[in-house]
Amino acid sequence: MPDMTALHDLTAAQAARLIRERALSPVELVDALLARIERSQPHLKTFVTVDAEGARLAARAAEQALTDGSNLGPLHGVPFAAKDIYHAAGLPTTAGYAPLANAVAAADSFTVGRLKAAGAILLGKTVTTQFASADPSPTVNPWRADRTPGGSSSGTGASVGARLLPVALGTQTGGSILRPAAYNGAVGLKPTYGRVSRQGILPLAWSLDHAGPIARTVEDAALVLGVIAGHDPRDPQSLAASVPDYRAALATPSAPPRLGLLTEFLDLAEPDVRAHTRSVATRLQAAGAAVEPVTLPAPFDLYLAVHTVTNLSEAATVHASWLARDRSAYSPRIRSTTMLGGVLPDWAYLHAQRLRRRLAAQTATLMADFDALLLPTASNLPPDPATTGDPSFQAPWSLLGLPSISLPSGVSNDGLPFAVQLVSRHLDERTLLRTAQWVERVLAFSARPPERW
Amino acid sequence: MTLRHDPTGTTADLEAALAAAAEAAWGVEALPEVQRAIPSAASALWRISQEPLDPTDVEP
Repeated sequence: MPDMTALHDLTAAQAARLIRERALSPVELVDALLARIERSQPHLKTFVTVDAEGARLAARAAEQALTDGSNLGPLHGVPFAAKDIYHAAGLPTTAGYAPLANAVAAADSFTVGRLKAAGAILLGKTVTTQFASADPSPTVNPWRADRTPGGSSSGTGASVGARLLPVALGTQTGGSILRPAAYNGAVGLKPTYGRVSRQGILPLAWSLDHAGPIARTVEDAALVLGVIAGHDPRDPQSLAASVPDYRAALATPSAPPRLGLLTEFLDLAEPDVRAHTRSVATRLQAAGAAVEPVTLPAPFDLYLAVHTVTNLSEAATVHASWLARDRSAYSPRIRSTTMLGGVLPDWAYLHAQRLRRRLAAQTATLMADFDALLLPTASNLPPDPATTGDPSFQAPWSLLGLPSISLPSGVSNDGLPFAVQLVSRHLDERTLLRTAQWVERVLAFSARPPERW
Repeated sequence: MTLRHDPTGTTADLEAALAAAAEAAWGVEALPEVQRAIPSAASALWRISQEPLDPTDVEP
């Protein structure tokens, strides 16, 4: 049995292995993490709902299943959490919106259900910005309390970054998986649009919303993706493509990757991020990667403009009836964008979708020559908590539905995590994850936030 | 000023048109609630309006 003080350091893969080998009790693991969440909560404010009773019940059942010799799922006994826009049976889905405070979900979302079926144990629901939009949440960045944890998956990012649990689910419409992962020193994976079902998740903008994990390692992200990916007829955009065995794909060493370094993102990044990303590229090149400077096939601001029009129009439509009924409980930013989105002209949305299709084709051509594109995850280190940070470097890949991943890559002089982003081809998470694991090994990031709680 | 597709318009034109449309939709007292979203929306509308698409170009 590992030292209890180290249980929170276990990755999901390590915990699953120890549990399967009967070297670790799921009850002990759940108890240790619940205690850690309770201790941190007044300081980090990462959870909306902690389901201690339900988690302990599930942990005891997991232990019994080990005794019984039952078939065990790949995440048997492994704790997880879900952003508070995912439905989880018996728990409220509040989305940070007061009128939903008592809206208890009758059933699990597709993804929460898949994780439970794989043996994972839900500890609770993590804080989201209201409706996964841009109004900052109360969550605190574990690296520095005077900086944002990012958003909208703020509780998911901060809880994984602070090692309160090994993995949690987030969503991304602009940059809400990768940016909180980056700002909290964690790994964030946004799969291809349609690869993971959105069923049972409150929408923000249908054609931009993605579900995915934040974890501490590429292996854990692959492990979770392998469980939650796959066709779901209840999500009209769910893809029927077969799901590779991502974890098996990581078992064999990959050759040094071919990376396209997106130079305009370097030019737009803050100086310390630019210098850091250049140094990462140099390190990867020294380790054998082929790194070639490339530029986007269309102006960067066009990607953002198309994203903005799409997001405004869809979010306004998603929220139209609730907004008309009573907008007083909406936070200022989402209230403003959804009210305004409702008056955008029809031509703008349709023109944006035509441009989106053209951008997707142009960008696919660029990506054909590389295993992944390399760029900073965000233009900046986590800024002050007045905003959730800058989504502009993540939004193009949400717009195009391409798989992307953020990896922690260093720590700044003032104690904040740097991160780099990799982007791969449509439905090619296998290559993305293999490339990410290669990069992860070269960078060997091992820093952790201070524990002042 | 209207919100019709006009590549010769400016972002200032679009900001004024959006404010007028928001006022018509939500009432003048609601304008302060909407105001913060207007500049970025106007900028995005202007930007996409600068990209011509022929009738036979890509579908949505």
